[in-house]
Amino acid sequence: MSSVLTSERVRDGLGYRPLRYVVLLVVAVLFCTNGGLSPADEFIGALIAVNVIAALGQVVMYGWTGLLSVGQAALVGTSAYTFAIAENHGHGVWASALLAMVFATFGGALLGVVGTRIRSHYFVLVTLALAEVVNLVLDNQITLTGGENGLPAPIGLDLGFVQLTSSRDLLVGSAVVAVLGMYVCSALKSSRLGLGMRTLNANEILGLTSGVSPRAARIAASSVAGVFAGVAGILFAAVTGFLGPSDFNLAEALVLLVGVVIGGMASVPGATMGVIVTSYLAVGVPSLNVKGPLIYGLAVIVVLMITPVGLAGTVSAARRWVTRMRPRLARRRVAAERPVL
Amino acid sequence: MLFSRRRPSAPPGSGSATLRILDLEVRFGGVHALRQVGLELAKGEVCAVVGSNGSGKTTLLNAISGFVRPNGGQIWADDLPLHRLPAHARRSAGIGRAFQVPPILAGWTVGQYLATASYWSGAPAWYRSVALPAHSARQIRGAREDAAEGLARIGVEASLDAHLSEISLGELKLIDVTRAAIGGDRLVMLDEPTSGLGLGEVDRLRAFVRAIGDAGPSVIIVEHNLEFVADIADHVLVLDDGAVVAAGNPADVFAEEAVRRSYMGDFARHGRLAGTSSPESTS
Amino acid sequence: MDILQAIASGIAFGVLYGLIGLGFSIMYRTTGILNFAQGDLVVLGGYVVVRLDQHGWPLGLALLVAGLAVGVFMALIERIVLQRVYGYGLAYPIVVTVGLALAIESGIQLVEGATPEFPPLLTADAPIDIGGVHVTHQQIAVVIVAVVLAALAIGFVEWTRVGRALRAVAVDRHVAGLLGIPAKWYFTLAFLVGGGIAGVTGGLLGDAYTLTPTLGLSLSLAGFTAAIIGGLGNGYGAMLGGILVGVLENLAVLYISPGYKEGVALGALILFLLVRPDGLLGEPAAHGRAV
Repeated sequence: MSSVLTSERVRDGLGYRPLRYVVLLVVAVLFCTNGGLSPADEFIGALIAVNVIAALGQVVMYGWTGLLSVGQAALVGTSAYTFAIAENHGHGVWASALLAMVFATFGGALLGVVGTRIRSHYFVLVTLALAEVVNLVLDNQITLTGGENGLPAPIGLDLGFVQLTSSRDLLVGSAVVAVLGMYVCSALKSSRLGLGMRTLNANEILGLTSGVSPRAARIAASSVAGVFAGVAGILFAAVTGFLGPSDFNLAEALVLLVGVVIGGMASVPGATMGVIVTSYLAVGVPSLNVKGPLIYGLAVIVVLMITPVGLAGTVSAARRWVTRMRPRLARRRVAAERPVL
Repeated sequence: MLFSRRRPSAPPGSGSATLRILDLEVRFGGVHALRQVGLELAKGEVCAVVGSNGSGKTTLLNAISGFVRPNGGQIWADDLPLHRLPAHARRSAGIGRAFQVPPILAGWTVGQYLATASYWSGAPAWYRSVALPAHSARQIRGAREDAAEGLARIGVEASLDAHLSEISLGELKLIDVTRAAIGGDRLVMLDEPTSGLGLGEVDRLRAFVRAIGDAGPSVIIVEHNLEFVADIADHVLVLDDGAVVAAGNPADVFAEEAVRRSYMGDFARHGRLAGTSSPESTS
Repeated sequence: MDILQAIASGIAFGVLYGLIGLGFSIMYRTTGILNFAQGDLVVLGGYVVVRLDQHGWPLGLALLVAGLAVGVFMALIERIVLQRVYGYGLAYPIVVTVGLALAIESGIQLVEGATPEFPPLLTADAPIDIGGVHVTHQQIAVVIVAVVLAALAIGFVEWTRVGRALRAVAVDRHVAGLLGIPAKWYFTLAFLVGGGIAGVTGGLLGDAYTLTPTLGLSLSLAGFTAAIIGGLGNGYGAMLGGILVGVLENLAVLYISPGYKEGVALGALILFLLVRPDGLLGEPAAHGRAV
């Protein structure tokens, strides 16, 4: 029986390596505590971490399952406001957090149900409309949400076993959660659930033949997006201590979407890097003020023109090119070393 | 829950037939694609479905796969009423399916493609993947080894990590057949598997299909290559314009005058079964 | 304000929504792209008209120039940017148009500043009274111009050879190619026309809106709603949908509350997308199973 395998050994089965994430966690924490960051930097960093968490939901929902949503920020907002309002009413952190997660996950599941019935183009518009409805409610239900004046919330998180009070605590906490989220996301990608979503997305017939239920896959993906949005919302409220409807509007949703797209929609590390970039541009350069969005808009267009497959796609294409070049380089080396007869 | 494991029951009349198709009717708008089609397959039997283009062969496969809902008739897999199951639930009924044109998924490797067939056993549940990475890795590695073994048996030399876009069409079709075989514990359906294959590949396919039949699952092959059919099939079903024109073992079917005239063309005069009933016998 | 008044105002607003939806619809029908920057193109056109008007240009000419300028701008964007990102999935063109919307918004803000501008009126004549309903001449003029513009655009798409080629490309790019129709140029044309309509609409905003750089999004949403309700791809539908939305909005303000005015359009959008995504006049798409 001829060997099926080439000289490459059967790599370990997982597409993710947990060790990587442990290393990343350690590096992130070290950077946050010893990187010489000012409180302002720490604040921005925490917000970027929150965005990464929310964006991971979009990777699952759009990158793997093909459900394009511009409503992820609205889900984050739903969670943040629920959390803040519950806390303001005297409920403890855990109870409020649970409530926020329930709302966000349920919202995600609802989107998923819609997504099982509606085609992609129309689905985007539904998410757009729903996101705007959420914003409208946040703006107008003033007694509940404070309207455009905003809603103050207790800053920091008192989890019982650990208190996150200073901006550094919050940054480290958010970064830790973000790395954990990345790990979970990667684990999902190699799991039955992730494989099912991606198969269905790649080719619906193949997915059905393989036993993937389209309805279950889409609802699962959207619910997972809701879970990530829920976590992001809770952290957002804790980090900023003040919520306004404009924190969760379409522009914010687009920061997430654009970050995911330019980073490579289905890739966890790629999307993370993309979102870090777009979040930094949107949040970390307030002095640019007006010029910021202009540069941002132009940058997005330019990046998409140059690397349509996103950063991650470019990286993997480069890697493949290197793999193909390697035997050629090896042959050349051998030829050079051969003694001249 | 993601991959349906329901097993609805209730068996009306049985026997040893693995697959029973009763009076299947399929209509698309004005086209009557399948008319009262019936078929019985025992365990391990290989059935070939032949007929000219448009005779309903692929529609039959699609009805069994669940992509087409029949307007009438029933499909039973042992005691499972397949016709009542949604398409995605048929995988759990042990139905595997290869395609006429395998989808070339951008960025996917051979290993990932084969993994779609075995992810019930080959891919870990999400909570295990998150909490038990080592266990999950072992599970996935096991599935990869099974896939590699399947490729070896059918004689494909491509690496599991090669990208689908880099594989030749012939090998791609063989890989697709392997995928169907992994997924089909009860029934494996192949749609024109020899088209695009070189002679050596056809030989390997022949051996592989025989091996599948010997191992237990039944096989349905839609084919135009009548030599291949004559070699491999225990049972032949001839469709014309959606209706069954002839059914039985290859020798009998290919001897029938109606079949020879309408479908077989040159094969009737010069093919391997040419000598069966006509006076002038050449081989 | 009573019902008739609400309806009359609704129509006046509605034709604007309809025009936005019309431009959006033409682009979508030909290329399949949802142009999230449509409202911002209208705002861009509006600013062009304001500046030209301040320099003493006659309004009619200003409208034409605005339409042309925005149309050409959008056509260039399509050619240079969008054509590179076709075929990579749904998100890319959307993200590009979003980036465009942001860029336009901030570009305008940089050049013009953020103070609201008042678009010039087509006519400043006093309001007249028709059976107890207050109607300004501006509103009448806008409706007339809008209807004419829509008629021209729809006529172009439905009855001219070029328009028919546009529709052929929309139906099947490959077959159109076989017939000798270069799809790429027709995509650009669709954006030229869609952008042009948006540009002219900017000059029609008159006393309906004060022009700010951030007006784009609400205009976009109203336009999308109009297009969806009417049936994406159908010109008559977009206008009809626009009028419907305008009237419903005003009725909502009358009976519910002004704050949720936008909610009406959104609610209608969601309702239609869920229940009848092909809109009132759209042809139901073949929702067959993929085999």
